[in-house]
Amino acid sequence: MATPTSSSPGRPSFLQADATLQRPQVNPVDLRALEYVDSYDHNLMCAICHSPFVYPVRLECEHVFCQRCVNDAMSHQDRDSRVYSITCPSCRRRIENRAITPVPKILSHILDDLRVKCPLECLGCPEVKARGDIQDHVNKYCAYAEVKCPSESCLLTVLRKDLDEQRCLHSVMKCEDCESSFMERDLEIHRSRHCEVGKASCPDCNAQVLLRDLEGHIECCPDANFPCNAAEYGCDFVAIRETLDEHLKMCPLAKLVPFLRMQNERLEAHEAALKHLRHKNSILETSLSTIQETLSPSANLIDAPSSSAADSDTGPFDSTAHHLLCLHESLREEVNRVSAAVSEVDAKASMMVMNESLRIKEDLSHANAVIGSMRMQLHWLMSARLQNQQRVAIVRAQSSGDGLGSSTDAGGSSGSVELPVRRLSDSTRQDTKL
Amino acid sequence: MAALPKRIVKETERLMAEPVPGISAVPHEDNLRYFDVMIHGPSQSPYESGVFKLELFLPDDYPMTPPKIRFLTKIYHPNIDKLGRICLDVLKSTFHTPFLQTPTRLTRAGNWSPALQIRTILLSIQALLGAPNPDDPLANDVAQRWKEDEQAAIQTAREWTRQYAKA
Ligand SMILES: [Zn+2]
Ligand SMILES: [Zn+2]
Ligand SMILES: [Zn+2]
Ligand SMILES: [Zn+2]
Ligand SMILES: [Zn+2]
Ligand SMILES: [Zn+2]
Ligand SMILES: [Zn+2]
Repeated sequence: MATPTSSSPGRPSFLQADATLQRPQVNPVDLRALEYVDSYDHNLMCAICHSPFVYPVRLECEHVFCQRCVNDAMSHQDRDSRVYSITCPSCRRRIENRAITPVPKILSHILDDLRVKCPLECLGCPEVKARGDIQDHVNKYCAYAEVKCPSESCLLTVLRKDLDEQRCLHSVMKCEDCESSFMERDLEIHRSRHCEVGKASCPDCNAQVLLRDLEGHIECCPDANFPCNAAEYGCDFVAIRETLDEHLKMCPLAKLVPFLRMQNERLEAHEAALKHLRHKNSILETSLSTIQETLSPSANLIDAPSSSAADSDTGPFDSTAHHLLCLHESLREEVNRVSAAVSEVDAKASMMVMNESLRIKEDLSHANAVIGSMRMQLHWLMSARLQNQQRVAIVRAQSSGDGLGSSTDAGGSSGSVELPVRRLSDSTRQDTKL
Repeated sequence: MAALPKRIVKETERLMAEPVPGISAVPHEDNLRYFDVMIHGPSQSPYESGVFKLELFLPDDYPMTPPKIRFLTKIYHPNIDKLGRICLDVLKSTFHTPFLQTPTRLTRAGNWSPALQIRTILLSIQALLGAPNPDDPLANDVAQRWKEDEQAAIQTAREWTRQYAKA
């Protein structure tokens, strides 16, 4: 069973106390006196104050009440009983331990999220806020909350919305009609809602009505003109209530009103959806380009100069393909030029190598010839020496008959004779090296 | 007059929006704590087809103290006295009987709880009409007769209902 909110249609008129001059207490905001916009789960309702819990606490029996309601109930029971124990208001269990336990945070959060009307609604504030934010709203933002008068010398308060006037609204003025005195800030409210004398004439029937009743009168004035229901869709008909009823039966536009309204609503919904999608799309595009940048910085580097080149001379080219073809052509020419240069260099180099090698070949053959002649000389020298030695040996053998002695001498002499031979061969070897 | 507590506003709204069958409670326009109550006598009881008027007043510290309630229509009932006062435990403050000392009797004294409401109290009174309890009397002579000759007592209750509680 949902708890009916205060705006339930069954509300008797006399319950709507005239609160226009009686300011609700807003510091602190009485959370129990607030008007809850949505119906809330009846389990969130305190059994004692019949409002959604305010600073709820839990008793031993696990029943939950507002802190203040429990305190009130306890103090009443204390006064009546003179015994130090109380019973739970819901289940009548005796509560021995008066220590009250806090409730889970989630309950407080649910309660703080309940939406309420601003307590200054009676003065004109249209705001609807979460209950947890309402004190903040009244203290800091509500246009109908009292704040100090902007005038330095004045100690009174004005509504926050009147601060813009930048002047003191507390000078006393007289109502033109009933002659009672009011401070300037209250005069308008008095004239439009309370003045017993001030009259105005109805724009339609010219009847004189109290200013404060004018609004109500216009709603039920028999002579008031009303536009056709389809006024916003192009019907210009304006008439008093009775004639209008007749017209409404005939007016084709009026019959289309529900349909048109539905279409408009759908259009609006689509526009909103489109706007949302556009926004989403732009976000996606941005993130896509970021991703591309991070993925291929090198590609970007290569791209950058070519694209800047393209930027500078896009003019003559009809299309990117054309531009690419031209680019390709110029590159091909470049390649041809380079390959020609390379072959030229190649030819030069091989010519040089050939000349050089020819010269070296000539030198070599020359050197070979020198070596050959030297070899011939050496040969001739060697053979001349051998002949000389043989001759000496023969002479020695003829001069001494002792074979032994001669053999040792021959060994010694032959050793001394061989040395220059070896030296010669060394020198020849060095020659060939050269 | 101090602003009416939200709880009373809410109870009143609900009483008007979802009335209890056989019971109506309408606040006075000049004093919203004061209600005119009508209770239809329960069927199968001597009060059947009678409509009883009551007055109900919510004291300043309601719901911490019970509502004050009284029959205006004359009624022959062992738990309702000549002045229309009702003997019903839920209509008395918890423990509220000054001369009681022992805890065992304390619990009998009163059974009001701030979790009760006008609606539940009126239902209890309607139930009391359907089930008189002569063992816990307020009108002693009626209770006496009820115990001695129940049929005769019920007959008297019927007659009184016909005579005083006309619809
Ligand atoms: Zn509470
Ligand atoms: Zn409990
Ligand atoms: Zn506000
Ligand atoms: Zn001022
Ligand atoms: Zn005036
Ligand atoms: Zn008029
Ligand atoms: Zn029309």
